[in-house]
Amino acid sequence: MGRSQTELLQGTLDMLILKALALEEMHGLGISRRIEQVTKGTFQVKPGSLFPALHRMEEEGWLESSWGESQNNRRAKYYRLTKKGRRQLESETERWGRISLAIERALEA
Amino acid sequence: MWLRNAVRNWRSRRRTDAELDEEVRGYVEMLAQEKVRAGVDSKAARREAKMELGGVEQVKQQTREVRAGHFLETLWQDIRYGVRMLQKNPGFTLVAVITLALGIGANTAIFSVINSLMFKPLPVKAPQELVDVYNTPPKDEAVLQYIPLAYPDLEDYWSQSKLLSGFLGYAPAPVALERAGDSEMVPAEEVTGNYFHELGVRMRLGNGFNEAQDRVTGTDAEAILSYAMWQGQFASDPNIIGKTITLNGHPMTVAGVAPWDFHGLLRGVAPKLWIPISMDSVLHLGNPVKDRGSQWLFSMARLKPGVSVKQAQAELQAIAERLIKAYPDSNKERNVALLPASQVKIIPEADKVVSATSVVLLGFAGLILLIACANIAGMLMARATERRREIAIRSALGGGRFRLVRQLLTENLLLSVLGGGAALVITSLLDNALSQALMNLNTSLPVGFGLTIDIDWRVLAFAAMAVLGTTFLFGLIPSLNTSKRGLTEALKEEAGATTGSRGKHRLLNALVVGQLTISLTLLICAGLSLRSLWNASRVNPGFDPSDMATASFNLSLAGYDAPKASAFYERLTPRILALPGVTSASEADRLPLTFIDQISGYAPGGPTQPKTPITTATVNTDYFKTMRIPILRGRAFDDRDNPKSPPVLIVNETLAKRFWPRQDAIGKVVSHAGKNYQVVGVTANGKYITLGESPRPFVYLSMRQAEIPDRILIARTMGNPTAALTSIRQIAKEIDPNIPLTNLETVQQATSVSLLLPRAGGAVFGLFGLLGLILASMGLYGVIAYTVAQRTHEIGVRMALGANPRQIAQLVMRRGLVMILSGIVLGLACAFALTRVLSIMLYGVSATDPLTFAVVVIALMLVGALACYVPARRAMRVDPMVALRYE
Repeated sequence: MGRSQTELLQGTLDMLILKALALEEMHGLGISRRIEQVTKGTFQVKPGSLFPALHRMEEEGWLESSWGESQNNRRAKYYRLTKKGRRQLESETERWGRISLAIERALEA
Repeated sequence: MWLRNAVRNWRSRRRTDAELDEEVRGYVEMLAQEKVRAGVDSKAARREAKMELGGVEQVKQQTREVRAGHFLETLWQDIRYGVRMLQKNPGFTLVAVITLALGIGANTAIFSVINSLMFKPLPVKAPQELVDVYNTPPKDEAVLQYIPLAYPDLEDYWSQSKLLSGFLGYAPAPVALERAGDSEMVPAEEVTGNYFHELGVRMRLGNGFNEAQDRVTGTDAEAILSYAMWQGQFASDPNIIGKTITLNGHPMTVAGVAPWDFHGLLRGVAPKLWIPISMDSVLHLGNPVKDRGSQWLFSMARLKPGVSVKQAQAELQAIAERLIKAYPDSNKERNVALLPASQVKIIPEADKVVSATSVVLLGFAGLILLIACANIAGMLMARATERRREIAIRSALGGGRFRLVRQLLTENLLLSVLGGGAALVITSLLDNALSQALMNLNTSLPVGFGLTIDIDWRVLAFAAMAVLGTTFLFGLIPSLNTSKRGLTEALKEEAGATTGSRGKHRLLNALVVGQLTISLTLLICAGLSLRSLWNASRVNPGFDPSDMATASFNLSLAGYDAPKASAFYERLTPRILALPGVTSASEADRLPLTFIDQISGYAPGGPTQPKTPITTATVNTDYFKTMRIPILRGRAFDDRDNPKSPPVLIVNETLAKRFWPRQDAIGKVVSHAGKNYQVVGVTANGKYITLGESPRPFVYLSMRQAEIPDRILIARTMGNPTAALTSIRQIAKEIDPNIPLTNLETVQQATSVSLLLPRAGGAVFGLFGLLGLILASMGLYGVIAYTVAQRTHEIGVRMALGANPRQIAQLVMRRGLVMILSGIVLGLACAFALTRVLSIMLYGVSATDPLTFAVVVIALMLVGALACYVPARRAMRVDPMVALRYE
């Protein structure tokens, strides 16, 4: 049962991460906080989903990472969008627009 | 992309792992700092952060799992780990591998035989283009569904066809090979000159037949040796080509040696020589080559590209219909039947028996494998208890259930692969032994046997399937069972302190009962086969085979015609009779119980009556006296019968009753081959073709009235008949040193071929039963021993509370006996249902023979009780102090 939920959310999670990284590079906790903040707490990204997603997207070539210093002078891994990631964000946004429009219509009908 | 990532991940896996660790830990720390900033004290903040994360190792594992190459990486881990586990328990590994090797080996060995008989294409060029060509007989004479072709018909089909690119014929025809003054019957095939060329079989040595000379009768005195013949009789002589060998008294030049894997086109039947059909009239008497009435050539045709079997069938049928009109006497209702060569394994009639036998054998081998699987499943479940803590720790460290099951399955697969490898070694050894045994199988049959049994890709694929199927069967249940146990429950349990869950014991018990069931079924089949063999060797064949010598004289092969041959026997037999110790002697055209069947049509009354196909033999005077076949009414053949006297025959009781129920057969008229015969005698029934046959009607013709050049001599002796054999050879060679004399042996030896089938059945099923028994008792022993080990603590408590060793032994034995009894009850039910399949192979014993059933049940109970007794004794010796401290 948990499986179908994550599958449903997987595409969404990718999109939210890409969107969060669209403005600046961030580390894991930062991404998670940003998503929480922009969705006003609707989505809370657990590390158990966040890290696998980040690593997978990095292998897809959408993200790149580098080690840097956090605000508290702690070594942290920062992720940023690649060109390919930016294209992916565009196509996902467009796809999401179509889906949400379709669902909205379906629900109104 | 995936591959590049996989390779990169693999090469930098340590660094990547360290980075992942740092990343996740960094996340926790930052989370904790966040909470500290929000006013929580640092210790509580760390704890909360960790709880929110849900376990560093788990998150790391989840992340690792999405990485490219993760599967391969873990597979490698699994394999390494599996090898370590197997090395750690060499005893378990050895027993499991041996069990699997026996179980899988039984299957691959049998499959490799079936494969070479049924599935392997013939080693010829483009076998898919070849079709077998048969005639179908007129409806009222239909003894066989498909019959071979007559040579003139074959020539007409070939010359008039436009859809065929080749047409060849071959016929088994034994010849006498003379070497160093001795002659030996050699199974050979007469073939059309294009035979090897059309099949695309390249000679190992030499150029093969000279096709230019083909069809010119008697001009191409050439022979091709089989590889086995070249290796055996001619000691692999590299200069054999061009040398002369003497066949049926004629010099023939060796024109080639066939490749090692070519045994002719009838699978399992292997000629040792091939000679051109054009030599037939020279080597044999008569001239069937010209005769449309003699249908003796097996034929194969090659379809032109794009031609379907159906089209060719229609074309040949049209030709056959023209021939029916042109030759109404010989070709009456003679139609054509084409079968794709891949569908015909030996001959259509025999194929049905072969495939039915194959299914039965594979079925039984499958049962052996099931027992082996149950054995290993039991062992694995017993072991799983010991590994419960290990599994629990692994899942606490983030191992998913799927991953754990996979790890266990990998270990099992390793076992199976080892077992499968050993099975292939066993198979290959058995195959070699069997191929050799077939080649050297010496029967008095006029055909040789030979089959290349080896391991090809089909056998490998079959073995791979067996390995996978086996792994799945024996591995899945225990693996699931192990990994589904609750984490905390497993961690809390102290190893050895509990007796395991009830459900698991029930499963183990079911496995053992299943094993015993199958094993009992196999043992009953083995018992029945052995009893059948015993009965068959003691059955009364209707004649007395003891103290008789026999020899075959193939005078036609030495160019004798019928009158000359009769003169020979008239000199020979009286001289044999005059030998000291010989009490009676006669000749016949063949011996009973040598599988050779000669059927002709007989009609009671006159030639207008419908004919019945009946087995026949032609015998000389004193045959019945020599064989000790009782004459019930009338007389035996005697000097009154000669070519000029009215034709007579003698029938057996079954025929007399069938043709003339409730009447005296003596004096009745029977029509056969255009002549009217008078019945002069009735003999007792006997066994004629096989020992297992039910009473069949039989007709004896007089040798005085139907002179046959090729005869067997029989001589009854006082005492040991082997002494007479030398004298028979001597006398025959004195009369004519050039005659081919073969099969010089006792009648008991000659008729022992009829025991071939029950012997083979007894050997195969005996082996199956024994394997099953060994495996099942191993399984029973394993489970009982495991229970004792598990219950050491409990037994210790019982003893400390005053139970005596006897009671303890009873406790252990009771459980085993319940399983044995359940296995026996179920096994008996299965056996009653299954043994009917065997009934065709059984002689003189019913498929539900009570004695066999009783003996097998008792044997299984004894072996089973022993398997329980050994661990029970161990239980009796448990020292309560040690057992209680065990914890």
